[in-house]
Amino acid sequence: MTKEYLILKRLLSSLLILFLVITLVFVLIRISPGDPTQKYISPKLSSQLAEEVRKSYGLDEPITIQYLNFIKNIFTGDFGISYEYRIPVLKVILEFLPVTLMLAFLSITMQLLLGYFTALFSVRRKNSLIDRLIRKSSVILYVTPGFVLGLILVFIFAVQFEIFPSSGFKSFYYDELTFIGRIKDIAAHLILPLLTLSIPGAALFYNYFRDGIEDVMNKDFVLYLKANGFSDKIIFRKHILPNSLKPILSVAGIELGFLLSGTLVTEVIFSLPGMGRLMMSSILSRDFPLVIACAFISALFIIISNFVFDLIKVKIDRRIWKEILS
Amino acid sequence: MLNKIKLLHFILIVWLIILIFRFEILIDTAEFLWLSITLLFEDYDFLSSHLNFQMIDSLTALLIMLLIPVIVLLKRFRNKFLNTNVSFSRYFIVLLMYCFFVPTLITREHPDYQKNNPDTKLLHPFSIIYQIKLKTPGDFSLNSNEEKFLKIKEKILLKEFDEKEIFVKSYSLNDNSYSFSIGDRTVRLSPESIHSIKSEIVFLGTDEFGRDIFSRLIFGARISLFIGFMAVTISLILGLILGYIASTGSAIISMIINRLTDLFLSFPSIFLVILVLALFGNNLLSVIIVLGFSGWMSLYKIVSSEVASVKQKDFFITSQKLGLSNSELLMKEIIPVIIIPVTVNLVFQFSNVILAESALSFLGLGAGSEYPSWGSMIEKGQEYISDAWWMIFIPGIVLVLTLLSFHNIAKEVNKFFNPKIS
Repeated sequence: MTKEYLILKRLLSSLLILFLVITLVFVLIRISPGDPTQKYISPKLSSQLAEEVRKSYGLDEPITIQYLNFIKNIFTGDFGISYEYRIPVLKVILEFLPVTLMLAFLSITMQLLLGYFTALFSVRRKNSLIDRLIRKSSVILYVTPGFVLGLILVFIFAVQFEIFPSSGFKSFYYDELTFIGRIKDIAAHLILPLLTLSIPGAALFYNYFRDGIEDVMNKDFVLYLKANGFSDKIIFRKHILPNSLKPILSVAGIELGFLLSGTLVTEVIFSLPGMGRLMMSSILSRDFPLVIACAFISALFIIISNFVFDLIKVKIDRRIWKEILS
Repeated sequence: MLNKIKLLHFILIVWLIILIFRFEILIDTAEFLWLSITLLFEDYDFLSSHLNFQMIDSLTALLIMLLIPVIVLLKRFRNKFLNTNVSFSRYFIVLLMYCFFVPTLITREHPDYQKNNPDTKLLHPFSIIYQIKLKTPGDFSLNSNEEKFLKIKEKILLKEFDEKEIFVKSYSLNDNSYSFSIGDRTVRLSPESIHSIKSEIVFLGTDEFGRDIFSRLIFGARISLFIGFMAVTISLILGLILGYIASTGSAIISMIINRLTDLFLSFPSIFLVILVLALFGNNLLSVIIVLGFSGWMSLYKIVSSEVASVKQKDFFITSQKLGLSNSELLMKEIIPVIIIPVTVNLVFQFSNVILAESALSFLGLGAGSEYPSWGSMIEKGQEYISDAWWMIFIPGIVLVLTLLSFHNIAKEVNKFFNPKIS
């Protein structure tokens, strides 16, 4: 069993999962009550015309043929045309993706950095008052749901002090701004959503980092290295940190996948045009091609981010690649 | 001193407080119970036509209030749970349990009671309002049991609306008549038509319809916990059955179930939940079922791996060779082993379900507007964020404390069963 073989096997099983996901979503939306064409048909229209509208959506054929057509189209990369926006589904998603990508990558970096530095701080000042304070508050922050935290942040920073705008992705005068002004504008709009997304995750990573570092610090090999006269910095950077990263990377992979598949609640609070709200609105308006494409994209993101973080894990610890990749 | 306070003392203290403050209602409920029992034999049709959930709820509240001290005092020596020291999470969970079982005794206002006065909307916490009770025209005589029954029923059940009660922010007495304002108009009432005026503290404020936030919180706790219990039960049953099948059945079945689990895990479950709820409609039952179905994966993983490991242990093989039947093996060898990790997982699952339920209510896909829910309270508060901070902060803080308590309890349970893991 070589590495390539395992990676290939994993790719194939990921493809199978993607296929199952879209099949599941397809079945769910086809057995659900409600007709997507109802919205576009006037009751005064003759039934013949209504049938034609249904035909133009491809909804008149039996469901098995619809399914086969749908699978065939997906293999050619065609997800269909959105009922609501009247343009290819992938184009719609491309419009909503930048916000989600930006939020997800900024948020995961912020979570990891915040978690790492507070954990370092906490490890250095172990059992001091401030360490105990951070420990207690990290649990509280970790269990705080996104909508409570987001609304509290909005109340403090947008309503009481009026430092940041409370909603939206850019201001209405965005087009008149200079380049630097535009960046500032978007940054001001993204700070509160980023904090909302990152604080619970940062609290989680803080706990993982702290437990991991403390755990490895008490191992015998660290004592051995110290006895051999290595400096603390080198021990920490080359031995303690890589050894404590394994659980963190698995959690980070899952976390990034969830962030990329849309952070619905945060987007709803701050009315950001992201994947989560696109999904929600497409489900509610019965925009079937868009729903399936969104499900596909988010499942793809989850699989990719897990895979990438697993590769990073292999890079750090080559001994266990079989176990990780299988 | 503090170490000597056990959980049972706290339970009894809360019980005593409720008993003192709601003694009158408890006595009335007891009379009501007696009347219902007599009517059960005298006039069954009358009773069954008046029977509803609220009535049964207040009757069970009475029974639970009677049972609590009996159970606590009988079990006080043996039960480990009752003899633990108190911590904040345990305090909070005991209070939540009281909210779950006897909400009608904790608050005496219906969660949907809309005070018929625009002045009482969006009142901040600890504001004072006056309740003016109008006289009812002519007391009817209380001869038959039926009439007594109706009278007491009106007394003990929480009313959704009462036209004989007016809530005002302030009133004045001049020219021998009471005057107060309802919205824009001023109302004058002569003292003869008024039964009583009393001041009330709106403990946690009111919402945009003038509903009391405190009683909505109490009844919302009940809905959250109910959904939590039911959904966890569903995922427990699913996880146990599927895990057992996967670890004992044929290889093909176990592979199929494993793939299915991977499928559900590789997919944000919140998306699936929203998909199903938005497509098939959301109500209490569908929320419970969907949340139950979205949580079985971790239980399945635990059960299947634990059962697989138990089957290789010597004690299992010995009892198999001794000729125990499959059901005996399950009951005597497998369940005692897997119950520990399953219990720990269940408590975590429970807080996840409460979180998911409130998030769904926040998105408008919860159990529906007929049930007060913390998530929907917060969602409503979003609209009034600049006028009424208490509409977000109070349910939000209660939700966070609930999640925190269950999180801590899950950790404690884990520690209790696996002392090696710090």
